[in-house]
Amino acid sequence: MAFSVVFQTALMLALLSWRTCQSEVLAEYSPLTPEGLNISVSSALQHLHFQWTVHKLPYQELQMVFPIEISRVETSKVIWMGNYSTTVKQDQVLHWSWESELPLECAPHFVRIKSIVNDARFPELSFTSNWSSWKEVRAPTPEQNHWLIFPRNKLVEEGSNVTFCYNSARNPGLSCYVESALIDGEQLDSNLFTFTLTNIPFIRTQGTNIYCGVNHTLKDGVVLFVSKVLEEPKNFSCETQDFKTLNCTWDPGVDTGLGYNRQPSQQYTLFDSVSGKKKFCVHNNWCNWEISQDLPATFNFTLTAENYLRKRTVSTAFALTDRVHLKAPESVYFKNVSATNATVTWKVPVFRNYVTLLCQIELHDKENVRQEHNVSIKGNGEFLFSELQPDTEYVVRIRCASARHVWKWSKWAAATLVTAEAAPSKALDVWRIVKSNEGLHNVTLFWKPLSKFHANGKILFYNIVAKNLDKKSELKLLCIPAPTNGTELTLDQGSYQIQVTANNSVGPSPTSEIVISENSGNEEVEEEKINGTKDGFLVSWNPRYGDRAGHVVDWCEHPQNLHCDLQWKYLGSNTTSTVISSDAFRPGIRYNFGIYELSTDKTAYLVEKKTGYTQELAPLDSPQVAVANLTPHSFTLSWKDYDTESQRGFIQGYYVCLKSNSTECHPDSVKEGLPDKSTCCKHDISNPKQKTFLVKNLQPESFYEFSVSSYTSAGEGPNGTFTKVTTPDGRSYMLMHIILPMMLCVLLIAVVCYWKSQWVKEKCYPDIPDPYKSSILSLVKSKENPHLTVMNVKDCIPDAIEVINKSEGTKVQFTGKPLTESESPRPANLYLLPAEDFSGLAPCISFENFTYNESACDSGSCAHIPVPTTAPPCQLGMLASPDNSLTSLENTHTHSQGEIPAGEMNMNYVSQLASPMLGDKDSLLINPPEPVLCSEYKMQMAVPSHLASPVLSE
Amino acid sequence: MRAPSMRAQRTRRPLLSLALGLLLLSPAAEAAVAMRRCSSSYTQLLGQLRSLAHLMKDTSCLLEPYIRLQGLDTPVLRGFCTECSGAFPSEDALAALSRLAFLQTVSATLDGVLQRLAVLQQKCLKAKDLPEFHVARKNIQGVRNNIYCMSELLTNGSETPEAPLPGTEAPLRPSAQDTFQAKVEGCQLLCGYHRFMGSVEQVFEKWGDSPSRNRRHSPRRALHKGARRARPSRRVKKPVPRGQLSR
Repeated sequence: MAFSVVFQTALMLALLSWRTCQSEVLAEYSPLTPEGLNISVSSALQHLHFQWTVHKLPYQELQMVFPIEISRVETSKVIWMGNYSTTVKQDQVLHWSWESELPLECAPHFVRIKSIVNDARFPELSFTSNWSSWKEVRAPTPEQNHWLIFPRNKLVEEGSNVTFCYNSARNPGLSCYVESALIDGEQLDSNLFTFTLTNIPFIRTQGTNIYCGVNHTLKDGVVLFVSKVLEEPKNFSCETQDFKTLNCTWDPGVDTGLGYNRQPSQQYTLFDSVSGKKKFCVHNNWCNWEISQDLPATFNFTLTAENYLRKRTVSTAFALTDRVHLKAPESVYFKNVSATNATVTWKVPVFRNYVTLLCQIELHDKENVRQEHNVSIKGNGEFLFSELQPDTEYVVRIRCASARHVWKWSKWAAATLVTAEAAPSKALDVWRIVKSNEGLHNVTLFWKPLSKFHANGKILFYNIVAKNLDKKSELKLLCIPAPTNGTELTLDQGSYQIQVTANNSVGPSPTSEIVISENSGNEEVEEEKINGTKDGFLVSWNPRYGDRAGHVVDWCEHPQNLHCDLQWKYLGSNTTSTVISSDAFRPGIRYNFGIYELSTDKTAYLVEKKTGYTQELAPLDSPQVAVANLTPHSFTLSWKDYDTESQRGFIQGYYVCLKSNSTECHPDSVKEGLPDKSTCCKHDISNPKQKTFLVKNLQPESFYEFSVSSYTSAGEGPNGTFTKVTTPDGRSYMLMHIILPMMLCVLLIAVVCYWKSQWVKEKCYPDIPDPYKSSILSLVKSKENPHLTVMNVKDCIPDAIEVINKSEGTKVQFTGKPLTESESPRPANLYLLPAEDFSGLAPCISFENFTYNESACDSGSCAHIPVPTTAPPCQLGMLASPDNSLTSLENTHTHSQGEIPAGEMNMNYVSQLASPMLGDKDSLLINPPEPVLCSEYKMQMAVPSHLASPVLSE
Repeated sequence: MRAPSMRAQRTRRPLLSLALGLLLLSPAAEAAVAMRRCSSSYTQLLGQLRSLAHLMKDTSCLLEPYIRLQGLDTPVLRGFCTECSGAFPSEDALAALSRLAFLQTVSATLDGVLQRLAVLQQKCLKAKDLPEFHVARKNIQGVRNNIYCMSELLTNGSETPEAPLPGTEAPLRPSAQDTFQAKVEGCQLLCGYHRFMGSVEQVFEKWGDSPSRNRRHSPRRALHKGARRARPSRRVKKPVPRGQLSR
């Protein structure tokens, strides 16, 4: 039993050994079988490179097919099957590559191959070999113990697809991210996961970060470098400036360089297929190519842009003479420069002087291109400019190109040309202002400076010649240095011809002529208003004189300024209107225009004057108003100083605004609200020349406020501040106007009376009265009763003498008592009183006896005269104003004379009474003076008894 | 024992000056200018050092631009970045040093940072990519110049020089060859640099207003502490545990 088991085992081993040997022998000797299969790995490219041979080919070459199988992870998982067909030569080493979409580091790969002879030429050789044995391939991973994600540092182009794998064998729960986005992996094996990124964008030159971690703990990461797609160079061209070097330029497009030296910027190579030369370009947008002088001057260039991932090429072919871009011309000079001609010369730095060049010449002044010329030259160039402007700075520009083919013009070469001066070519534009003064003409001449075009050089001075047309021999010469634009001449009243020329270093200009006539400056022309617009003034006029050479309109552009900037405009003889416009015209400014006719002898006559505004504005200020003739019922407003000429529009009238306590307005005014919500009565004065206004129908002792504002067509000026006026009282006004003159008259009379007091005294109450000399008596006598005579004392029989004791009562009687020594003299009045009863009112005549009054005045008691309570009213009146005693006296006297009928007056003697001075007149009236113990002498006077009774009866 | 020690100190002082001088001779012209213009004011120098340290600890002047440029501004990557490089001395280690040793340590560390920045800029970036790198290098040069001047001042003030932390003598070198690794290591380097400057500022803040020594650590202790605490810096040459991806 044991033997049999051993035998069977030995037999089996022998059979196996034989079988193995047999197969090896068969394989070794089988023809056309792939042999020496060698597989290498390119991890970066994820390529498997196959290399094998086929021995013992029966023919020199044979068409064969090699089926290939590739498995991943294990041999049974075939991931790719394919055939490689090729013509196999004897002893040829065959190569074939396979690119894996999965990084080769992710998993082991297994490869096998077999061969099939499939050559129609040799049908008898139809043969299929056996599969080779599986060959395992593993990509090298230097630190495979640490790296979890593959591929590492992969470089792809933007828009590519990349498959990543990661191994989670040692990190369960491993999660992977692209930038910050979590990626779901597809499980390939138990621990092997893959994910594919498609259409990958370019994010940054530093690469896209792909990393894995567990619970936000980083485990591994890779950088995927995404390159921008290399662009084809644009605008590739070559040119030469000197026929020695070609300069090729292009637009490189985006830079595909990446960080960490993963991919440098794209490199450029220039290849000329004509010469077979190649050059690596240092710069990314230009490259120089040396021209071989011994080769034909034709080129066929290919520019190749290349990075790690891609190549791009562009080509250009040309003849050298078609790509000439010359350097700018040199040595540009001028010769034979005159006022109107000049010759320019230049050189073109060309290597080959036999090349014909085309040059463009431009002549610029400061504004425009004045001349353009095309010149064909060989070598040096020369060109004559003509018709140049004297004393003008020109810039001459020259550029050249190959005349055979204008590829590009050279850069401009420029030089400055200044022509020589010539005499001014145009007469000055002259105008004048003439003012007559004391038999003289003050002529202010103005002229406009010549334009550069006409000046032909720098104007140095102006010559002025004034010829007296009446006295031909009389000349006035003036030389005004430039740049003065005017001068003043003082001429007599005769006619003068004034000639003005401008002079530069070469000579004078044509003469300008103007004539000043005798009447110049004395023209009386009425001013007419015109309406302007923002575009100017339309000035029109009527021709006045038949024989005329033209017209001139003059005006001041800045009438407010001291120098008004006189402007003028010459117009044709048939012109009757023109538009005067100026940028200097401003709204609200009054412009005055003078229109002159020019006679054939150049004499200017003022024919019309216009004034107007381009745009009228409301007045800027209001009149300053004065109040006059203030009465209780009216006052007058006046603003005669208000200047209407300087306003911002034609003054059309004035508004007078009157505020009062009255709620009603006068019919010729309208009520208007004011900004302060008060109202006023507004009077419209539509006559701008009326500068006074009578405000009437006012109430005395009333308060009024007024303001005056002017207005133009554009509106009303600012409301002036209200001025306050209070009308006076009517009575006091009357008093002031009646009583004051009366007072003055009285005063005048008093003065006269005082002046004549001596005369009155002598006439009326001399120191020692002489009844016979009394004028009163004579007066009475002469007027009333010529039979009256002076009563003689002797003829009087005293019937009673009463001693008056004043303290005893108020009764006053005439008593005869002599003046004692102790009693001071008192002022005494001489009254013409009724003898019997004077208690009633009666007219009387009283004279103050100053003879007895001296001491009393010394005591200061003159002003207070004691009077009995029964004193008549005229006495009171006198007492009320003792200073006016004389006046009162006179009044009384006059009154008496006037009221006492002639012939009825009787004269009584009244004693001269010395009364003590007590109290003032008021107290005197209220409290009668106390009688003093004194005796008074009363001169008794003869009083006609009939004199009192009629008065009493009145 | 004292005599040799004093002799050692006497010889060590010029050596230190020489070492610092050589250290700061890069670039030579700037160092020469710095030496000629050294301020003799301790307060002024200290103020400048504090200000510079305060300025350089700010992550917005270098780290943040770097993170944005490299696309590391994601939670996972930022978190990894802020695990700053351990190749820098800790604040405790710096605080334990004498002032001269501290200055020398800071200078040497910043020298290493300069080299790392140069490599980082050369390998990873184009000159136009991150202008903040240029500014940072200028600031580091400025700090080192001021450190030189301060060291001169302290040396003249008879403060005894001591050995710097051993870990900082070797330059900080980039370890990663992989691009992603280089990215995140650069990030950690900058993070460590800012943190280091924060520590430097803290130590400068503790310095008194007088150049006279106000605290004294034995050189041995400082050396010991510095060596012990600077141990992580030795790891710079090896894969850095804190900075390397944990697998």
